[in-house]
Amino acid sequence: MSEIIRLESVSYIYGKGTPYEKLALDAVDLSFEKGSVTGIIGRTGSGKSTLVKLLNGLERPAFGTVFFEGENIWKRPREIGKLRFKVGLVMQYPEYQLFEETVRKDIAFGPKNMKLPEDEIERRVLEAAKTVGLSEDTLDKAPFDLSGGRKRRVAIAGVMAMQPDLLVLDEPAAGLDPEGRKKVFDAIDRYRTERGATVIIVSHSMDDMAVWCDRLVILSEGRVAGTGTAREIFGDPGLIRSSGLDLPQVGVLADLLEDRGLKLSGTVTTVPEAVSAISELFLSRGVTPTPKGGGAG
Amino acid sequence: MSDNSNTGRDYLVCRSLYYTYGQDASSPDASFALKNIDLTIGKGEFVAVVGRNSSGKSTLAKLFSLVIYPSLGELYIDGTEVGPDLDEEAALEIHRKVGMVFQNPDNQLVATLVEEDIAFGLENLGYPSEEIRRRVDLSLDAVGLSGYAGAEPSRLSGGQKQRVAIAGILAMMPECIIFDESTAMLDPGGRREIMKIMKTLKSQGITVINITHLMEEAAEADRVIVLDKGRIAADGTPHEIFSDTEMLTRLGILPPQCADVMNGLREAGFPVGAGITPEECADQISQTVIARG
Repeated sequence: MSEIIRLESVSYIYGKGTPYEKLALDAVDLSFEKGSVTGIIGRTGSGKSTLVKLLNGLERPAFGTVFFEGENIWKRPREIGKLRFKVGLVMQYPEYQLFEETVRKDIAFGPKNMKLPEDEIERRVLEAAKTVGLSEDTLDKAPFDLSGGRKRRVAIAGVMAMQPDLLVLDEPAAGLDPEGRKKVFDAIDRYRTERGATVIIVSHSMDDMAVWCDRLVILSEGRVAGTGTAREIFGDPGLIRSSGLDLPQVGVLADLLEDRGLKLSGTVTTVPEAVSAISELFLSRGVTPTPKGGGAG
Repeated sequence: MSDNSNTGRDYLVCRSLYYTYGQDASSPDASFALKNIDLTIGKGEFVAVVGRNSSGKSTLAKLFSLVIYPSLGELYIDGTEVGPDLDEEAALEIHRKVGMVFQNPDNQLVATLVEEDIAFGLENLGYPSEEIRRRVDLSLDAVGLSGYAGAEPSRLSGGQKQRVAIAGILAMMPECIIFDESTAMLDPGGRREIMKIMKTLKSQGITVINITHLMEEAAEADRVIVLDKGRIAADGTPHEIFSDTEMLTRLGILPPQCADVMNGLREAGFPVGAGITPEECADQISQTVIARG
């Protein structure tokens, strides 16, 4: 695999020259492989949102360089706008930014800015709506008449319709119910598969990150505190705690079982992994299951 | 902070309550955000309200905090019937007794200093300044922010901002606090801070209502009410609610991960009991091993 975007010793300073000057990112080196799904986790103020804005050129590093497809994104500052079609950013609570009278127009907004021909815009709107699971009759409704979860998916479809190679989402599922969360993550997964795109997700939800990401990056006080698979990251409770984060609940359960002398094999980060590891533990300790339907349940 | 002696008496009572946004409730096409709600919440209870988006959760919170009034049916708050003809004095009294903490910490703080923000409600009610001082200090202490009186709200973390919002309510000596998805925008540390405060409030006899999408949070309440399409679909202890897999699936609710693990093990035929917190589940699993070992 080759990389799509890379940060080289990137630092960012807030309020430079004021009494509130703060080093938000401190010499960050990170690279993202094409087609991967990376989760960025870290407590509030760890630098996650700053990092996201640096990726599509909304902010410019104080020091260091961001390379997209091998090229310094600030080489020609006037053309930074073009990068935003290739690096699609879905901000927090993006549905607050819906403003058109129909869903169709809202999704078409980005492609229109790209000055694409009408028929291409229409094709992309339909495709993006399908990717996020919105039916065609939704397209002529007013966004404001939709439920919170669907509004969110309209906003995400608006970014997807620009067909960015890199899709960056800041807390895409915050405030949604479990069904709504799943629909959002399914949509992201579909987009990645269909377009071979790269995805970066910022979230506080360790449970979601464990399920949906190939790789996690922990930010802590503006530095990269760790990178690895969910198993590697959540298998290091010391790192999780020192970064002010939580293990997924099943990870806490595994720790408590170990305290009771019942160590599970491997690190568990999701519910199915936990069920299978505990089943294995039971079998090794002579606890056998009663077949279902035998009246035992 | 509140009088503990009356814990248990009916505090929030809904009888055949309906609510519709906008339309005429007597029209045959009226669509109701809440339908036929019969509900009694006792003083000092810690209740979680869960359900899909637009299931009616926030509508219920708005009714309890007098932002809206029932379209049909009755609502009593601490024995006072609430409706459009409620007199101003009674409404003020309920506003003092029932406080609400919202989702976005940045939309709730209005003053330039933390202490001014907390004093805001008391000043409106014309309290003497010594009493205001005393209550500001007590409230900040209760949310673990003593020493922050002179801080600027804009320089605080999300969790700290929510705690200032809670302190502002505590200064009014409330009997009930409603948290409307108050932890949704916080990081795990911020969430833990707020959950800890909810439990402390409960232990002081304050009625706590936590409207949330996070089932791990709901599991920490004494009682869970599930709303679905404007109706009460289930009402029980966290154990009762989260071990009923069939009902959860039907209502679109994901149980806390640990409850899900126990349900999965039971479905696989293993003899384990129910549990919803990691501690309970670890105990259940080790008991199963010991019993067979």
